[in-house]
Amino acid sequence: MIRATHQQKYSGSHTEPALERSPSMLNCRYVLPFLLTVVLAHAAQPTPKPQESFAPYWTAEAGWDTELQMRNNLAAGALTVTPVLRLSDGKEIPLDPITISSRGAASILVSEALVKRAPGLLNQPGSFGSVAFRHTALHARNLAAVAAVHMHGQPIGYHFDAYPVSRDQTGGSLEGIWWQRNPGVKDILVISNSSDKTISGDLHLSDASGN
Amino acid sequence: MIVNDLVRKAGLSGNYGGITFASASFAPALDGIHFLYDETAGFSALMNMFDRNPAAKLEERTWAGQAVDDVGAHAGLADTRSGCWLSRRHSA
Repeated sequence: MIRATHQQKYSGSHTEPALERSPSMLNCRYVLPFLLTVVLAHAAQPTPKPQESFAPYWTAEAGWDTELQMRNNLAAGALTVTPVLRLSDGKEIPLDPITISSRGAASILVSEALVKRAPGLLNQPGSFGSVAFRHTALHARNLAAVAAVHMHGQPIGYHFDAYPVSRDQTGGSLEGIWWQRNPGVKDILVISNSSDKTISGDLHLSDASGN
Repeated sequence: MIVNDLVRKAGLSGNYGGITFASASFAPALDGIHFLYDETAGFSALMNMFDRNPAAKLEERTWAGQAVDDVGAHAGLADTRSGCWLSRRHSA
């Protein structure tokens, strides 16, 4: 039918079907696919979901403090983040949500936040654990977060980056090197579990020969 | 955990060695930190911990376009076990 119509057009015939030249039909041919594309593109757009990033350590033990630093990586749109302190036994202490504008950064001093939420934990042995940063976004990495731990009055501090929580069930290991620089150096190892499951593991130490 | 105490209890000699925390499942949900400090000397250091995935494929052993084994070799690491060493949460 189409081929016949073209032949008629190229031969200069004046007997082309009226339907072929109808403006409304042309509109249908171009507008409907366009509308379909728009609808499908809209349907395929991802929607923001609850996200969680995890930093392995915070502390409010005597002589130490922790600052939670967060940055909104989005070019447009604010992020509302709820930092949640977890104690070593898994108990959670949600802190006040904080809204960060696009490309903005915010900081929370854990000692000040605990005064409001759990003052009994300040300067106590065992006041340490991990931090979860919860927010709603397209991806967990729309938020960059860090737990910055420092010792009062000393040039001693550490940054612990937060990473998206993994649900992967595979086995594996964490590997590192112990180093006794001199007898006065304290040497702390912390293993944190970001999941809601109990995970068992084995700790192995070896000498430089691997024994 | 205080690593110095564990090293002493294990009877290990020397002033450095290896740490491994292995889990048969959900290992990526674990994260570890290891830090040193001496407030008298004003010294501190953060010791890197790495993920090791024994099931990682060869093509996944890249770090900034370079084979991770090569990076390990440049860093003086020598480990003949199969598997992949990655920087912290490189694969996340």
